[in-house]
Amino acid sequence: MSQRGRLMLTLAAAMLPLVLLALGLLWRDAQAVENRIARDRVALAQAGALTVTAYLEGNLRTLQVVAAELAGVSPQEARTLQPWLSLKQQSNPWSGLGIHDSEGTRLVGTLQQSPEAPPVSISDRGYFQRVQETGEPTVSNAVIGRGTGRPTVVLAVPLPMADGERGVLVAPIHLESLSTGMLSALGADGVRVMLVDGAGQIVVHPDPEQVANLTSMADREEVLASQRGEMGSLIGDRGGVQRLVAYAPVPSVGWTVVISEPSSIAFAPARELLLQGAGLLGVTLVAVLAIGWVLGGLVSRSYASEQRARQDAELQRRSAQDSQQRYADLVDGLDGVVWEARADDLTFTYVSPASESVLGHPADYWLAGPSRWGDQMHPDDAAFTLEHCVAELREGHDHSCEYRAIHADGRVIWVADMIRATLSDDGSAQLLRGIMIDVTARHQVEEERTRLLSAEQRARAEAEDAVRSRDEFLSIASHELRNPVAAIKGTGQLIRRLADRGSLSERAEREYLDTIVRTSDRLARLVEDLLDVSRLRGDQFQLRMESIDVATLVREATSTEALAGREVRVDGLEHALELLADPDRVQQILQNLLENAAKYSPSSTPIDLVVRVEGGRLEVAVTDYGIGLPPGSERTLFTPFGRAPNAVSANIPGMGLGLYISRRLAEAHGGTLVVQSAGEGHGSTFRLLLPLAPVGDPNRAVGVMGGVTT
Amino acid sequence: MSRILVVEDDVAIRRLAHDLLSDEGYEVATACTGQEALDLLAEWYPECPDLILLDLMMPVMDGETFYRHLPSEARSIPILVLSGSRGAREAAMRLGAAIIQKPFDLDDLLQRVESMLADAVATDPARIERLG
Repeated sequence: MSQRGRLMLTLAAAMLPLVLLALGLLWRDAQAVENRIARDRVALAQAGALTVTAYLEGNLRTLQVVAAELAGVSPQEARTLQPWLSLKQQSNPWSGLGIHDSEGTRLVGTLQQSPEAPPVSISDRGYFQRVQETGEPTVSNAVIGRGTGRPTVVLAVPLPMADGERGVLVAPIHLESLSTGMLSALGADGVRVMLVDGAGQIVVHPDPEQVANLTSMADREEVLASQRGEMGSLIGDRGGVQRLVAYAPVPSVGWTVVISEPSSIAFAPARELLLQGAGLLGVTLVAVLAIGWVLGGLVSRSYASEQRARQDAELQRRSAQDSQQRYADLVDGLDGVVWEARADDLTFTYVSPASESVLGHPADYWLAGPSRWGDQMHPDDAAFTLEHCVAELREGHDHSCEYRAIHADGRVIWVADMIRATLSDDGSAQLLRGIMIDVTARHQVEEERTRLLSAEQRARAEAEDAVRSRDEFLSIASHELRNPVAAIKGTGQLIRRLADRGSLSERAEREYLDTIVRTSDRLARLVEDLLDVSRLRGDQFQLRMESIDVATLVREATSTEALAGREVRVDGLEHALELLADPDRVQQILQNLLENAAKYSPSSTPIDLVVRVEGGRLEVAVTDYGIGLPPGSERTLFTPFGRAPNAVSANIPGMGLGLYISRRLAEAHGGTLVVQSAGEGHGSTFRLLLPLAPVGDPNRAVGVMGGVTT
Repeated sequence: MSRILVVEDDVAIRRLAHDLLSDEGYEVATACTGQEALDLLAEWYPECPDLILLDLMMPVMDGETFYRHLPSEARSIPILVLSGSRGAREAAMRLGAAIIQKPFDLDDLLQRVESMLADAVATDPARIERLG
């Protein structure tokens, strides 16, 4: 629930008793007003009663005065007094005046009667009998006048007559006159002023009908109460209308004055008061609630803003705390050293605790000692890094650099240092702030990646080379194979062709056959060599390692047919030498070297073969004194089909596979084959280098034993 | 008498071509490298051979290099490539030359030589005039 809502509820709750109280008071006031109104009405009724009393008393007194004047009159005298009576009657509000004898028979009256009519007697009338009995003046209840037919009350006083008899002087009063007087005195809008006689008949009423009919009100509560001598008020249903009825008795005659009006009119002031009060209360209530609402809004707003402000403050406090904590956590938890150093002499002014884990020294080490930024750098990187970094930073440029640093335990680590310069007013750097992060792992990964990448590139290049060289090899091989085949086939066809024509000389035939035989040999050797090359290239080359006596090996190699007639000078076989190698393959190498030496040198020149041992390796050097090698030809010499240009141009047959195969065989033994030449025409020296025994390299030994090596 | 230059490093084939073509009555000269062939052409200048039999794979100077070094007036000499290598057909096309694969039949070789010489005569009025 909103603040405003709560406030409104509180306000309403607080106002409820007040409102109830106010309503109670209002109600009470209204009641009081009603009571006062009722009392007023009763007083009015009382006043009416007094008026009636005074009226009747006055008339009775006047009638008694008249009676006093007539006292002692005889009936005969009385019959003559009609003019005098008329005179008296006219000066009073009486409708007539008459003298009755003690029997009740009228002796004289102002009302004319026909002479033939029987004499009027009032002996049966109550007022006559009361006067006769009590000798007191009396007022009759209302009656319909015998002569007039109009409602009338009769005043009757005793009249002492001459014969000592008690006559009665009577004066009827038309009720209209009484009504008029009383209505004019008391009447108001909606207010009925009524007079009810002792018999309960209406004597005065605003409605003449009621009077004319002498409507009875004898059973009315107010009349009954009045006849008991009480006065008061009541609220009753009169003809369907709620009316305030006030009543007061007229004591002397037992009549009742009733003042009646609708409650709605009578109590209008009370109701008005109530309405006004309630209205006022309502207005007040609404006003209060409105003010409450507005205030509530304001309060709510201000409360909310205060609340917000408080929350903000709390948040700020917490965020300040947090940020401090966060800063500390960040700096301490960072896997990097946060540092600050003076820009001029690079001495540290702050070093975060992470320095212990990153560089191995605790923060105090850097701060306490005369250490400077750069001391942690690897000597090889320090000068360069500092020169570049400091120059940049002193200019006020931020700078990042990576260098090797020396960890306390002596390890070399890679550090990325991101440095920011804090500038003084003149724009020069005042403080350097930086963060050193150990990026050794990244460097290792990068190095590894670079290594892998280059290895992969190398592998790919090798693979491409292999493909290319295989293509090249096939291309050359097919050429080299097709040439002898073409020669053999062509020469054979030529022999037949010339023979058919009869133009084949015996000498030519022999030459052609020699060519075919020689070329077939060449083809056979070529096929053999190609098979070797193929095996060597395909890593399917198997060495059968044996312990060989080097002297035997050399002796066999030098005693081949190809060297027949050549001087081969062997040196270095004074001591017995054992070699662990494949005897057939080593023999193949040596023969190849010796045949080449013989092939590319004049037959008159010797061939030197020198054996020696150096650094656990056997070296066999084969030197000839022949055509030599042009500079730069060493490289092509050891490639498949590679031949020295001068060998080709000298028309010395050869396929350029022997040296390639020989070197590969030497390498397969863990050795090598190299060549030296002083140049074209200065002979060549080929050196075969082989390990005496593949010791100290078990992997290699295994590889060899496994039969797979390169 | 047409003159044919045989450029071939393989001695047996060189001898074969020489003897075959000589026996057919052609004037035959041989060279075992491209360089030797250029030297011969220079020696004969302004005379040109009517046909060149050219091996592509030769040491010192291969057939393509030889062709690129030909003087412009020698470019019109018809060339018949004799080769057994795999890329020979493409190489021959680059040179605008005809090709005959090793190993070849002697009859095929002679037939190609004859037809090429006949074409050259038919399309070269200067040579026709000179031959006439």
